[in-house]
Amino acid sequence: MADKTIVKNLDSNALEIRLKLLKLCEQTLIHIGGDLSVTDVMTVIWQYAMNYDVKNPAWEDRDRFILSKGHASAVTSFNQAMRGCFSYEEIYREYCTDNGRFGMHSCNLLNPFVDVSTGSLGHGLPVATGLAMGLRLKKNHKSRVFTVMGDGELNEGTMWEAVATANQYKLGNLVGFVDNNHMSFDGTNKEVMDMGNLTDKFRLYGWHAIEVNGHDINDLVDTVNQLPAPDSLTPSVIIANTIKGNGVDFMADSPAWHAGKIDEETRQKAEEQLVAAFKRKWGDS
Amino acid sequence: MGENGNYTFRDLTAARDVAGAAMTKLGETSDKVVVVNADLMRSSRMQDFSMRFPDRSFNVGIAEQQMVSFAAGLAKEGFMPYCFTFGAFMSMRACEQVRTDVCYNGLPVRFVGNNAGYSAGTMGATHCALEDVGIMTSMGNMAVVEPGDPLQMAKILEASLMWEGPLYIRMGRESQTALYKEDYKFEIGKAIQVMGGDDGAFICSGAVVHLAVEAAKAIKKESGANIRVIDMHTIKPLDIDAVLSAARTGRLVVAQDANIIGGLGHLIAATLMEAGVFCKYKILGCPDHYVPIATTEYLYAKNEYDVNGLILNMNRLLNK
Repeated sequence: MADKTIVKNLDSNALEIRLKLLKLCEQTLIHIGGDLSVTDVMTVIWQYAMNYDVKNPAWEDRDRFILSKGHASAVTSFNQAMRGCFSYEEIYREYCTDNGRFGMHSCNLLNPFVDVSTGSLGHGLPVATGLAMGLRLKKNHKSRVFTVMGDGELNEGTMWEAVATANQYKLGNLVGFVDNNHMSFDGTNKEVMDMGNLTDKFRLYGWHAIEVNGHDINDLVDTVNQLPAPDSLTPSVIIANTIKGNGVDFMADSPAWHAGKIDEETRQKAEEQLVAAFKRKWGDS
Repeated sequence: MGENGNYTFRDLTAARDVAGAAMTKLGETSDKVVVVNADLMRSSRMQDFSMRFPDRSFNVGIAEQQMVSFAAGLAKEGFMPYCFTFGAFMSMRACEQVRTDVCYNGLPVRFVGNNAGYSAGTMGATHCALEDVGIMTSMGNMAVVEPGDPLQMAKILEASLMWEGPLYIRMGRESQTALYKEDYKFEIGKAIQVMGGDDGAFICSGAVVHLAVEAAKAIKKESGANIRVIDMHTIKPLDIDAVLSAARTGRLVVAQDANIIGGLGHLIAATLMEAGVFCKYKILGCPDHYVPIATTEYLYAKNEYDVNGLILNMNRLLNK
């Protein structure tokens, strides 16, 4: 079991990030559905798992991060802000503005904290295999490459080319997270493209695959703690079962909230729900 | 082959064979050089590199998109990856990976594509790089080169070590002899005048340069007209000075083994328009439709960029 204080702090961090996301969603259109489904996973990665120096984003021994589902850029940026890469205010000020550092998808042209620009699906994991191989060539056995994918993104054939490559080249320094929210832009996976059991599929390709509740910070922390060492020979994937739009009743499990904008009243209602849920779990203290 | 395993101007050789030997030298020069193949390692002549540098040679199987993304990741970690496959697969199957993972991210990946134009006509259009020039030149940050003779491949690869951004190198499949009898300075972006002349000019790239030299010699013999031949090995960034100087002869025949749309002919025409320089102008290249299986010789002749076709088209401009 993970340390309870750590879990509570991370849960509180995740709540804070969801509230920040809703505020941005009132300001402008964002990919709120996927942002909310992956918030807990992203928080555990950035506030707990990642070995990273915000003063030196090019630090050789850092863990690498690629946002394969590049549209979850807002939740990534807020997590980076929480880590100290920049301030929250800078995100609100520059999100989707002329020459702003933050947009609908991750772009590294003005933002040194984005290792690889992404957005088009099916690219992040393939590039991550190259990073992982590069680390091995440089005999860097400390760093990991974390990448966050969508389950819908796994429709893309290129993802499976990368899955095969990671196994062939024994890239145990590669750690994938699948935000398994069972939904893509046009609807549920069952309606659009049912990929079946993802955990089994990764295992068939030789990966170490773990399925967890992607909204249970305790489970996510436990899973990260038990990851094979970066110099292991087996790539890992964490299939995090999540709910698109998690925590806000009218957004939850709804393809209508893949991307959207809300008004002030709606934001307040959503905030109340999130805060109430946190209090139910952890009490008022 | 001459001494020390080097090719000489007398050898009939293919650019890919030269690339094989040159890559081994590059591997010796820099330990950052890595090669990524997609199950065409043997066809691309990378066996020697892979035996000499097994840790720096990768094969991702028949997965060109993965080859390019994997190379992008390696480049991000400070390596200088060279990807090898046919130009058609490089520019089309892996098009978005080249554009998004490499060009958008500003990474120094080198793409070497064989089977330029109809140099592989008997393989059918699936294996012919017809659209690669148009596609690759349209990508931001990308430079596009094509050796004017097989030996120039070694020059290009040597120069590529110092090239900062992404680079696409297309090459024909056919064997040719060397165009240049002596060593010469090669620079990406700087065209080479193979023959002097002020009555007209051929501007070509790749295998067609050789044919243009033959055509210019024949025209000189027939009519006494002096036709310049430019080896425009760098298609992007274009050597504007060489283009404008050639245009001052009053007649340009621009020929390339690639689709006439979006190829060297259109790029040079646009350069002339912007400079306000006008001359008699003809573009030769692969037609803007697909053709049945045929030999390279037949297709070059049919589309008038074999020696006879080049002569015919230059004479038309001379007699206009």
